[in-house]
Amino acid sequence: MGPAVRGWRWGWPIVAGVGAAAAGIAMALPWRQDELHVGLVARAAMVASGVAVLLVAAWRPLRDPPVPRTTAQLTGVLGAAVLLYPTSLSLWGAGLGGPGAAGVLEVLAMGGHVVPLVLFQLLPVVASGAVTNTPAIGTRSPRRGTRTGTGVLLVLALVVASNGLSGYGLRGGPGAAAAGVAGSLLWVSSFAVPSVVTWAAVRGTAGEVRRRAVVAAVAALAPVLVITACWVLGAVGAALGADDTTITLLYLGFSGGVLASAVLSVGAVQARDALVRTRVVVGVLDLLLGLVGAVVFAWLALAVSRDLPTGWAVVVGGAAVAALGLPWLRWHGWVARVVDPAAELRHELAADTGGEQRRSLERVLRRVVGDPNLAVRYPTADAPHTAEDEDDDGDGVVLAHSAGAPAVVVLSSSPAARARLRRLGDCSDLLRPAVLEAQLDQADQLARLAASLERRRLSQDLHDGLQGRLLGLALHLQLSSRDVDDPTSRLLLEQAVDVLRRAVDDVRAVADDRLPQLLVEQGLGPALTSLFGQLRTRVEERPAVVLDVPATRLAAPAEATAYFVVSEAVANALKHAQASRVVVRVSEPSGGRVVVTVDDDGTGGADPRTGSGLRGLAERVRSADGLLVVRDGSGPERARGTVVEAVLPCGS
Amino acid sequence: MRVVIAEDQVLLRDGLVRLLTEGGHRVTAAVGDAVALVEAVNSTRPDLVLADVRMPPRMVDDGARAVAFLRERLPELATVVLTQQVDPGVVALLTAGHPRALGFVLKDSVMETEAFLAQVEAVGAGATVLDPAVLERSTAPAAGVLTEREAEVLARVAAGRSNAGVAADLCIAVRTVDAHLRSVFSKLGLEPGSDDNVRVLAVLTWLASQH
Repeated sequence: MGPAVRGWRWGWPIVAGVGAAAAGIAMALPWRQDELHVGLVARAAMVASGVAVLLVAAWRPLRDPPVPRTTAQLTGVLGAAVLLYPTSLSLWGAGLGGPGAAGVLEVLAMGGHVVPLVLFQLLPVVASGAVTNTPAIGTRSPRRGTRTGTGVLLVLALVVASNGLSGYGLRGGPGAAAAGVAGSLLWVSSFAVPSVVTWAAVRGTAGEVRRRAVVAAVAALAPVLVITACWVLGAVGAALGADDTTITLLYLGFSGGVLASAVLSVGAVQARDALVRTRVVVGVLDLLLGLVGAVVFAWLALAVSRDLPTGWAVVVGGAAVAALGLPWLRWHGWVARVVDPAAELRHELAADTGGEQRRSLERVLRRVVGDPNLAVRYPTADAPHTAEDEDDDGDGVVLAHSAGAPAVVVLSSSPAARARLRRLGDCSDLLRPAVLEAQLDQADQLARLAASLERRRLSQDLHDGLQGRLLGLALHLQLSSRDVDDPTSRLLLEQAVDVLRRAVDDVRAVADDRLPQLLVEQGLGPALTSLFGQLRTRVEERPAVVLDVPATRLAAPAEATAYFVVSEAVANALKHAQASRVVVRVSEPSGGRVVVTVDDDGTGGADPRTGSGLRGLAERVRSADGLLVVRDGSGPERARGTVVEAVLPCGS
Repeated sequence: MRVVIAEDQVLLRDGLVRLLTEGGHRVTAAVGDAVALVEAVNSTRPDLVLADVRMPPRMVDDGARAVAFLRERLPELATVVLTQQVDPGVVALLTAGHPRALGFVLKDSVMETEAFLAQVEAVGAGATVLDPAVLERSTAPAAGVLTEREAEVLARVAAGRSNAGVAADLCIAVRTVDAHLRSVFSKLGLEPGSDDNVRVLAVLTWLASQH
C-alpha cells in the first residue's frame, strides 16, 4: 500500500485546490432561495475548514512509516466532503439546473452535512483504535480491535436508523411525528458513541499510547462541544435580536468542529511523538474544559437573559463559569494524572538528588499505587526476573527495561495496585538512574566478592607456603644457635631469629588482611580510635593514647603506612619503654606530605639501629618513600620519652 | 615419648623433628601428607602425633581428618594439632570420641621452643591444651545454648582469664562468674571440679557445638 499512498502526497492538496476553486465560483453566484439563507461567511468558513482538513490529511508526519493509513485517508475524504457541502449549498441557493439537476442539488444541499458529520465521528474512533492497537507498542489485544469495529458499526447503524426515521418523519404518514422525534434522538445519541468508545480505549493504556489515546478521545468530544457551544451562542445571539446569527454560528461551529476532529485525530496518530508530550495533551484537555466553560456560560446567560438585562445575564454566566473554573484549577493535577499517571513519580524522583533513587522509587510507588507492602526488584543479566520470585511477594509488573530485559520489576499482591502500576507504563527513561544505581551496586558487590575470594586464596597460599618456610628456618636457626659457642655469632643468630619472627608476624598480618576495614572505609582517625581508644593507663583511669588526627582522608598507601607506624610505635612505647601516656599527632597534609608523630613519656633511649621493631618500621616507611626519625624526647632524666616522627608522601 | 610428625613443609618438619629430638623424644616417623600419617602411625605405634591441620592431598583439613580417624581407633593416642585458627568443625571432629590428650597449638608458637615443648609434653601426659592465641584468632562464636552473658564469660575463660579477671572485665562479682561457669559446665554436661581441665573442656565442647 506504501507506494500508492505516496502517490497521494500531492493528491489531497490538488483536491483542496480544485474544490476551493469550484466552491469559490459557486459562492460567487447570487443566493435566490427564500426557504433558507446560508450566509457567505458561514459558507466561506466551511470552505476554509475543508481546505484545512485536506491539508492536514496531506501532512508529512502522517506518511511516515509507523502511522496507520486509514486515519489519513479518512481525513482526506472528510475534507473533500466538507468542501463539497458549501459548493452544493451555493449551487442550490443560486437555483441552478433543470428540474432533475435541481432535485439532485437539493438533496446534496439538504443532506450535505450528514456525510461530514458521520465521518468526523468515525475519525476519532479509527484513530483511537489505530493508537491503542499498535503492535509496536505492545498493547495489542483482540478486545481493542473488536471495540473499534463495534464503535464504527454502532455509529453507522445509528446514523442510518436516524436518517431513515427522520426521512419517514419528513415524508409524513402514520406516526410520522414520533418517527421524526425518534430519528432526532438517535442522531444526537450517535454523537455520544465515539466519545464513549474512545474514552474506554484510554483505560488500561500507559505512557505515550495513553497520551495518544487521550488525544483521540478529545477528538471525539471536541467537535460535539464546539458545535454545541456555537449553537448555544447562536441561540444567545438570536435571543439578543440578531436573526441570522443562529444559522451562521451553527455553520461556524460545524466548520470548527470538523477541523478540531481532523486535527486532533491526526495529532493522535502522527509519527512525531514530540506533539503528544504530556504538557501539550494536558493543554488540549484544558482547552476542552475551557470550551465547556464557554458553553455553560452561554447557556446560563441565555437562560437568565429573558428575565434580566443583558449586562446582568453576562455577569451571572461569568460567575457560574468562575465557580466552575476554580475547581478546574484544582483538577488540573487530576487531568495531568489521567494523561500521564507517571507524572507524580517523575516529579518525586526529580526532587531526589541524593543518590537514593531506589529508596525514593519504592517510597513514591507505595504511595502512588496505594500498596504499602509492594517490593521493587532490579533483575540483572546474572539474576534475571523469574516466576518463582513472584510467589512470595505477589505478581510482578515490569516498569522498566534495560537492553531488552526487565530491569525494574514491582511485586505487589494487590490486583488494584498492579493495575495502577501497569497504568504507569514503561518508565525506562524515568527509572534509568535507579537501574544504574542497582547495576553499580551489583557490580560493586561482585567486585567485592571477587576481591575477598582472591584475598582468601592469597592468604591460604601465604600460610601454606611462605609462613611454613619462614617458621622452619627460624626453628632451625634457633636450635642451631644453642650449639654455637662464639657469643658474637650467637647474638647474630638470635637477631636473625628475631627478624624471622617479625617476618612471620608480617606474613600473618598480610595473610589475615589485618589492614582493618575501618581504615579502608573511614580513614586513619576512626581506625586509630578503635585501636587505642579503649586503652587505659593502669594507675589512673585515663586514656593511655591521646590521638590528634585530622579527619582529612589521605591516599590509601599513606594511610596504611601511617597506621602501621602509629600502631608499631605505640606498641613499642607501651611494651618496651614503660610509657604511661602516648600522644599521636597526624598533621594536615601540606605540600604533598603528612607528618606522623608518636610522642611517649617512657624511658627513652630507643635506637632504630639496634631494635628490630624500629628497624622494621624504618624499612616500611622507606618503602613508602617516607622518612623516619627516632629521637629522645625532652622529658626529665628517667622519663625522657621517645619521639617517633615519620614524614610520608600523601599523594594529595 | 615416641612421636610421629606430619607436616607438609619440609623445612618446618625437619625443624620440628630436631626440636622434639633435642627435647628428649624419639621421632619414629616424619611424614608430609595425611595418608602417610595413617600408615606411619599404624606401623610405628607412637605415643603422640603432632600434625598440621592443612595437608596434602586435598590441602583442606586432611591432617585433622587423619588424626580423627586414628583417635577413633587408637583412643590412647595423644594428639597435638598445629593450626592457624580454631575451626569449630575441626574441633567437633577431634573431640568426637573424647577430648583428653588433645592439643590445639598455633603454628607460629613453635618459635617459643620451650613453651611449645611443654605443651606437647602436657598433652602426652593426657592433658587438654588450648593455645589462647588460637582462640584469639578464631571467629567469635555465636550464642547457642548459652545465654549471652554465659557466652561472654566463657569467651574470656577461653582467652585464658581467671575467674577474677573475668569478673573485672565484665564488672560483675567473682561469685557471679562462678555461678555462670557452673551453669555453663552443667549445660555442656561437664562435672565441675572433677578435672583440672574442665575449663578448657568447656571451651572445647562449646566450640565443637558451634559446628
